[in-house]
Amino acid sequence: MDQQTVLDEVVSSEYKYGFTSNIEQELLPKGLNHDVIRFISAKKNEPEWMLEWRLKAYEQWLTMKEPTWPNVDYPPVDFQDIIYWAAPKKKPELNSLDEVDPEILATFEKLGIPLEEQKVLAGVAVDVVLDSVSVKTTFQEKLAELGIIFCPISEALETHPELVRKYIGTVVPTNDNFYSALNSAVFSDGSFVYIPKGVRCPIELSTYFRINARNTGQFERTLIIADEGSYVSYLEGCTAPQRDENQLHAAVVELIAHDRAEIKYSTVQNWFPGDKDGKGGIYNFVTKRGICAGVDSKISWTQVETGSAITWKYPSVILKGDNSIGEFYSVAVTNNKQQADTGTKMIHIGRNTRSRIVSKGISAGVSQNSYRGLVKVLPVAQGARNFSQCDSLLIGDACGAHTFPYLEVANSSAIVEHEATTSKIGEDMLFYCNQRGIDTEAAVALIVNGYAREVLNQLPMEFAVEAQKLLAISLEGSVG
Amino acid sequence: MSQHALVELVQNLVPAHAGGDVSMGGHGRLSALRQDGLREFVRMGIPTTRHEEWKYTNVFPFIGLDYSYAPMRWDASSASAPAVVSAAEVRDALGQHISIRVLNGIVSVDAPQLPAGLEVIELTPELVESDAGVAAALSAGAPMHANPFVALNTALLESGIVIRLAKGLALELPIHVSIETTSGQQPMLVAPRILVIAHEGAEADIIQSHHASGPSIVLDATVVEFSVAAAANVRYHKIADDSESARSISSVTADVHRDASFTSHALSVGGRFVRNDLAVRLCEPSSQGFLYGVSLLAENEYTDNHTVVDHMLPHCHSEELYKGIYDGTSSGVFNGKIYVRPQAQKTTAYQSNHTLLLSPKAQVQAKPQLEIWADDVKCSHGATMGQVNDEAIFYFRSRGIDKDMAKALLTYAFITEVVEKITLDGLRELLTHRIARKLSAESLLF
Repeated sequence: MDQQTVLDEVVSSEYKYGFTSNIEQELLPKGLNHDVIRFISAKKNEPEWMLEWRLKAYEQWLTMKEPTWPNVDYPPVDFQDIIYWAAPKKKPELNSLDEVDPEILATFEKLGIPLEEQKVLAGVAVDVVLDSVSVKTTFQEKLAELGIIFCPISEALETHPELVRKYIGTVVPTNDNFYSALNSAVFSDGSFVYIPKGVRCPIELSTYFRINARNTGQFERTLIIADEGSYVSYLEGCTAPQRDENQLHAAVVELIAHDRAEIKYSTVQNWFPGDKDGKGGIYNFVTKRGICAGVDSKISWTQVETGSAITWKYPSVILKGDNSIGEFYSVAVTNNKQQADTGTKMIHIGRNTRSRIVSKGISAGVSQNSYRGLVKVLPVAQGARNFSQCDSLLIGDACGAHTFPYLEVANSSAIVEHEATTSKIGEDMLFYCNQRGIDTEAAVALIVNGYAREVLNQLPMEFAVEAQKLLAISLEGSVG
Repeated sequence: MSQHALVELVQNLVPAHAGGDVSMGGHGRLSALRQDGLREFVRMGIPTTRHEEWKYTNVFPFIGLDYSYAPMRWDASSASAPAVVSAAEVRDALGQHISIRVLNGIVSVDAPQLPAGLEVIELTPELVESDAGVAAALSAGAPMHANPFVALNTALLESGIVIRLAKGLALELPIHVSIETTSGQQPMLVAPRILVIAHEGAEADIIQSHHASGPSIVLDATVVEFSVAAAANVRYHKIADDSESARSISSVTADVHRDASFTSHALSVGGRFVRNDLAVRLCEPSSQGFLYGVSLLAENEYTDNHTVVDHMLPHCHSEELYKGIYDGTSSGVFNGKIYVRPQAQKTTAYQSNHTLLLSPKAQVQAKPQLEIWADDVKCSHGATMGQVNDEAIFYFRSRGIDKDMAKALLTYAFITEVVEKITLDGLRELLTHRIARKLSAESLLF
C-alpha cells in the first residue's frame, strides 16, 4: 500500500510543482441555514419552485437523524462546520507533462490512461491543437442533432426547467433519507441527461467531456431520463486517484427508464481513502436509485469501488414496469482502515420482472467490507425472478467481510436465489503461480482480477482495462 | 414503554431484593439475577418492528392482553392430569422415555427410576447458592441483555428444571419435556426455564414440545440453556405443534466446548405464532454445531427462526439447514447469522435455507447473514425461494397422479431431507406422519 500512500501524498501536494497564482474564490461562512440555501439558489438563477423545493428538503432534513445502522464506524460529522457554497476554484496550470511529478505519471502509465486525459487529470494546460474543448464541442453538436440533452443540472434548470421539475425527486424523494434530504437542500451541481424517444446515444456519456463537472463539489445531483425505446450508457468517476478537500460527499443519482428504454450506469470510484490510520479519507454517502417505469425497460448498475474512507451506497432499482430488468454488478475493495457498507435493493412490482446481483467484496489490511442488499417481491409482482451472488475475498487476518442480505418474498410465483461465500486466496493457487515464476504480488493481482472478472466484463472496454489495473494497484503491499 | 401492562405485571411479580446469603435469611444470587432481569426488561421494553431483530415479528397484537401468570413449581401429583391431545401423541410415539411434564407451570417427573448419573432436579434459590456448577451455567449464555423475553423469563425465575448428565453417561432413553397449557377465560403467561448441563463425554437426546389448549391466548416465554462440556454430544429437538391460542417466544442457547457437538432440530408443524431464538456458541476449538429446521405452515400460521452460530475459536465447524413450506396465508422468517471471531481461523461454516411457497398469499422473509472477522475460513450460505416445479407436476400427472397429490408428494420430498437428520426413530416417524397428514398425503405415503 506504500505506493498508494505516496501517490496520494503526491497528488495532494498539487501546489508543490505548480506556480502559485492568486486563486479566485468565493466562500460563504460555514454552516447551514435558510439564507445559505437562498444564496445558493440565487447564485444559480434558479426558478422560484426550485428554491421552495430546496427549503422544503431542508425543513425535512432538520427533523431527521443520521443513520446509525450501517456497519461502519466514524467520528460524528459536524454539519455546521461545512462550507456549503464555494465558487469553482482555479487550479494552478502546468505547461507540459514534464512538470508533473514522475510518480503520478508512473501511475497513469500503469492505469493506461491516454496522454490527453493524463494532462487534464494532472492539471496541465491543454494543447491548442489537441484541444479537448473542441472534442467536447464536436460531441455536443453530435448529441444535439439527436435531441439528446447532456449538460450540468444548473444549466438544465435554465434551459429545460419543465423536464427537471417533472422528474427531480421522483425516484429519490427529498425525505428518503438523511443525506438525500441534505443533498436536495444544498446540491451544488451535477449532470442532467435526457435521451429522447427512440434514440440510441452513440457515445458513452462521461463527465470527462464536460469540463466544468469536475468541480461540482461535495453535493452532486445527477438526473438521467431515458424516454421510450432509448438507450444510454453513462460513466461516472475515473480510475485516477482523486483527492478532494471535502471530507463529506453526499450525492444523489436518479435514473428513469421509460418503456423499452435502457440505462447503463458505470462508476469507478477512487477517492482518497485516508492514510494508513484512516485519517483524512473521504466519506462517501450516496443515494443512487433508478426506476424502470415502463414495460421492457432495463437499468444496469456497475460499480468498482476502491476509494473513500467510508462508503455507504446502495444503487437500487425499482422494477415497476412489466418485464423490466434490474442489474447490479459491484466490486468493492477495501484496504488499510477503509470501511465499506454497500449493496443494492431490487424492488419487484411489475409482472415478470427480473433482477440479478453480483457483488464481489475484497478486504485487505484492517478494513471492513459489508454487502447489504434487499430483494423485495411485492404481492402483485407475478413471476418475479432474482439471482444474487455475493462473494467475499479476505486478504490478511485482520480484515472483516460481512453479508447482510434481506430477502422478502410475498408472491408465491417468485423464484429468488441467493448465495454467498467467504474465503481467502488459496495457498495452493499462490503456490501454483509462484512455481511458474509469478511473484506473490502479481499472483494476487491475477487471482483478484479473475475473481472480479464477471463484474469488470460489464464495464465499457477502456474503463474495464483501467479498472483491472486499478484493482492491482489498490492491493499493492497487502501481501508478503 | 414501562407503563405497558406486561411490564407492570412483571414488576409486581418480582420481590424487592434484600441481598445477602439465603441461609442467613437473605435473598442470594437468584434474587439478584431476577433483579437484573427485571431491570433489563424494563430498560428494553417490548420490541417494536423498528428493532432489527424484530423487524418482521410483531408481538403487539397480543402483548397488551391482561395476562395472569402461571408460575413454575414442582408438584408430583399433577403427573396424572389428562394430557393435551397433541402432547399424548408425542409421548406415545417416543415409546419408553423419561418424561418431564410442565402443565400450566407445574412440573412433574414421570419416570419410575432415573438411570444412574442422570439428575432431574428443581432449580431453587438454595441450589443456585450451593451448587457452583448450576450457578455458573445459569444465565451464562441466555441473552438477557439483548432479548427482552429472556429478561422477562429471568425476572420471573422462581423455579425451574435442571437436567444434569454425569461424566461419560450415554443416556439410552430420550428425555421428553412437555410444556402444556390449558387456559381458562383469562390469557395466561408461562415462563418455563430449563437448564441442561452435560458433563464430559455425556450423550443425550432431549425433546421439548409445546402444546396449548383452551379458549384464551397463552404467552409462552420459555428459556432453555445448554452447557455442553468437552466431548459431550447433545441432540435437542423442539417441536412446535401449538394450537390457535399459543404465542410462543422461546430462546435456546448452547455453549459447546472442546470436541463436543450440539445438534438442534427446530420442528414447527403448526402454531399461530412461534418465535425461536437459537444461539450456539462454539467456545472451544474443534467444537461442532448442527442446526436443522423445518417449518410446515398453513392457514394463518407464523414461524420466525432466528439463529446465531458464534465461532469463537479455531477449528470449529457448523452446518445449518432450514427448510420452510408455506401455504394459506402463513408467513415465515428465517434469520441466520454466522459470526466468525478474529481468532477463529480454520473455521468451516455452511448455511442453507430453502423455501417453498404454496399459495399466492403466503410470505417469507429471509436474512442469511455472514459476519466474518478471520481470513482463513470457508463460509457460505445459500437461500432460495420458489414453488413446486411445473414440469415435475406434469411428470406425475402424465402417470395418473392428480395435481394436488403430485404437489403434496413433491413437497414431502422437499422436506424429507431435513426430517431424515433426526436419529430418534420414533420421533422421526411421528414427524413424517404429522407432515403427511398436514399435506393430506397420508393415503399415498402410508
